Order: sequence, then C-alpha cells, then structure tokens
Amino acid sequence: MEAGEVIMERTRAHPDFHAVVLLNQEIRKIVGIAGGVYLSAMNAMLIAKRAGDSARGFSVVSRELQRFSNRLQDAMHLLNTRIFRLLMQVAELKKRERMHGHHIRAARAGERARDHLGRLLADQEAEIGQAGAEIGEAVSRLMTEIERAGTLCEMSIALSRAAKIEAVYGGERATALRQVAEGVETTIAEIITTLKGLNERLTGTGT
Amino acid sequence: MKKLNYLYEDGNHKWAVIARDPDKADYLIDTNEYLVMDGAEAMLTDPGGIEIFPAVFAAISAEFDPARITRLFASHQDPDIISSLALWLDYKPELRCYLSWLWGSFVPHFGGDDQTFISIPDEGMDIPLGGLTLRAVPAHYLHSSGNFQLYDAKARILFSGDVGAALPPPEEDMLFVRDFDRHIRHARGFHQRWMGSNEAKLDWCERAAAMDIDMMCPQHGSIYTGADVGRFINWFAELPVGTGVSRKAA
Repeated sequence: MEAGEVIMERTRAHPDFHAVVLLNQEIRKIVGIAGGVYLSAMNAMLIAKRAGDSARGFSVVSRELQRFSNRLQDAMHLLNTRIFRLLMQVAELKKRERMHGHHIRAARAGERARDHLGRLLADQEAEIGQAGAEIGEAVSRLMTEIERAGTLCEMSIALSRAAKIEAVYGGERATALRQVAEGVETTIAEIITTLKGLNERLTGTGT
Repeated sequence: MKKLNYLYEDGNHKWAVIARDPDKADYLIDTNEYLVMDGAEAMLTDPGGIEIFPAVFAAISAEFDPARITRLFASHQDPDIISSLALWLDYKPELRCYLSWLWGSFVPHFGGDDQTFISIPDEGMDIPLGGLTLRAVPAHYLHSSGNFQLYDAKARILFSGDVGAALPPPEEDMLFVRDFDRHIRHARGFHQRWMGSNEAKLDWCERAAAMDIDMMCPQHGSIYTGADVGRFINWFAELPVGTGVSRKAA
C-alpha cells in the first residue's frame, strides 16, 4: 500500500481532529516562512540594481529567485486552501458523527425505536462513510501539494547557491549580496526540513 | 466561508471576530463569534450553533491555534449561542464554559457535565484570562432572563450579546457601523421584540454609560465604534421595548 493510501485508510477509519489541527499549524508556519523568501528575493533585486554593472550576474539570478518566490507563494496559497478545506470537512464529519451517536443511543433504547430509526441510521452511516472517503482523498491531495512544494524548494537550492557565487563579484555590495543569498538559502532549507517532517508524519514514517 | 478579523491588538492581547458567512444557509441567522486572546490563553464568546461549527472552527484554525482556547463564554442559553458546545468539548474536553447560574441545568442538554460549567452569579464576576481580568457584566432580560456581557477594560471592548444586534439586508451588512442613523433602522424591530423589560434596559443603559467603551460588539450585525457606542446607548434608552407584538398587531 502506498504511503498516501495508508494515511487515507487511517483517516477514513478515524479522522483525528487534533492531527488535522496540528497539520494546519505546521502549514501556517511554512506559509509564514515562505513569505520571507519573497521579501528576500525583492531585497536581492533592489541590492543588485544598486550595485549596477558589478552585479549583473547576481541580477540575473535574483530575477530567477523572484520567479521562484512567486511560484512558492502560489504553492503556499494552494496548501492553505487545501488544509482549510480539510479542516472544514473533518469538523463537518464530527458534527455528523455526533448526530449519528444520538440516534444510535435512541435506537438502543427499544425495539420500536430501532425499527423507526433503522433506515435513518443506515443513511447516516453511508453519509459518514462517504465523508470519510472524501477526507481521505483530501489528505491525499494535500500530500501531493506538500510533495510538489518540497520539489520546488529542492530545485531552488541550486538557485540560491548560484546567487551566493554571483555575490562574490558584487564589488562593494558583495557583503550585502552574500547576506541576502545566504538568507534565501537558509529560509529554503528551513522550509524543506519542515515539509519533510510534515510528510514523514503524514505517511507515518516519522516519529 | 466565515473569516477571522482582528479588531484589537496590543502585544499578545488581542480581540478577533469570526463573522460573515456568505455560504451560510438563509434560514440560519448570521452570528459573530469573538475570540479574546491574552498570552497563551483564549476565550471564545458565544461559540454558535451546531450547524455553523465547521465554519467557525475552520475560520479560527486558519489564523489561530484552537488548542489555546481554554474557555467559552455563553451570554445566555439560546441555540445560536451555545448549541455547538458538545462539538467543542469533543475537540477539547477540558474546556470550561462561563454561563449564568440560571441556565446551569438547561444548557447541559446541548452537552457538557458538572465539570464543564462555571456559574456566573446574577451580579456578575471577574474572569481571569492570561494576564487579564475580564468582567461578566449583567444584562438580564436583554433578552434572556439570565444574560451576561463580557467587558475588557484594558481593550475598552464590550461584547454585548444581543444588545446592539441588527438584521440588515446583505448589501448593508458591514462589519462596522458606518452610518449610525441608517444602521439603527435595522436594530429597532429586533430590540422592540426581543428585549422584554424597559426597567432592565434603563438599568443596563446606566451601567453601560458609566463604562469606558471604544467598541461595542454584538452577536449579530455590525460593531459600534467610538461615538456610535454612546449614540446607541442613548437610542436604546429612548426606545420603548417589549412592544414588538403590539406594534405588529396594530
């Protein structure tokens, strides 16, 4: 069974409210960090502009960094949308389960009650099963987006290293350019680490 | 979807409102839930009905860790106020809920047990939250016979429950009151029908007028700010209440 299927099965069997809330917190943290990449990329463009001809190479790399930061923002927006939807789905399922629990208790109170409620209980169980399956699919889609964001960041590591190399040729702005490049690299590395941890926890391979 | 908007921020001391749900079914009255935060703790006022729980929970989680909510505050016993209680307790069983003593054996029909509720005596009480001391302010018969509002003296914010509520048409349903005279037309009928006692109303107006309030936050409709708070208190003091039925019948 694929890792995504494992989490789907687990979620379908027992959607854990707290796990989804924690997941949401982690994704919010990553989105916050990713905002820093956008600012750093903007900063890199400005410093490169001020450095003029001596930072032509850095200027080219910083434009690429800005493109990357835009794509990263899009990826983060998608992650935010997916986790928000998942939270809604899990909360909705909890509501249905609670209603179902009340009807089960009523049905257990007597044979006549059970006769009257039998069909309702069956319908509710089907709805809950369907909602659980949809949650499993939503988790799977979320995992795909996490993996995509991770791949995007891995690819950009080379970009931030290139920025560091180009910073050397930045003349009197070399220190400022290097600091910006290092800042981007550190931030991306932090995002990658957090995404990996998230993925490991989702697939059950982490601690 | 409902959305969380910050109303007040001073370091870790914050107020936010969870409001305006365009996806909500028309047959449900729209509600404002307020989140008061200080340090590691938060309190949710009038958490709402069971139907809107998913929207409220998701909107809070999008901006704030719901695990930090340690208390609920129920202004009174109505279903749009607190029927989601059982769902909140499913998420966090150790949540405590402040509620008028009068409803102590009624609201558990929505959920909770003898550990859940902290009874508020008729005269009100101080409520600690983080480093703050909030105040449960009596507003009995406005509209419920056991009714409280929540006052934050530091932020100068009064959560006023149903007092100040309005039912404007969607095109005029703003988060903040912008034109008092225009807005208050949508509050008149509500207050005349739901508020049952002129005596209780005047008692509350006197109490509210003595309080330092920058923002008055009702459970339905728009938030009053600045001079509009005083305007509302004066308007309410003049308004004959408990007259909704006879006015309609006439």
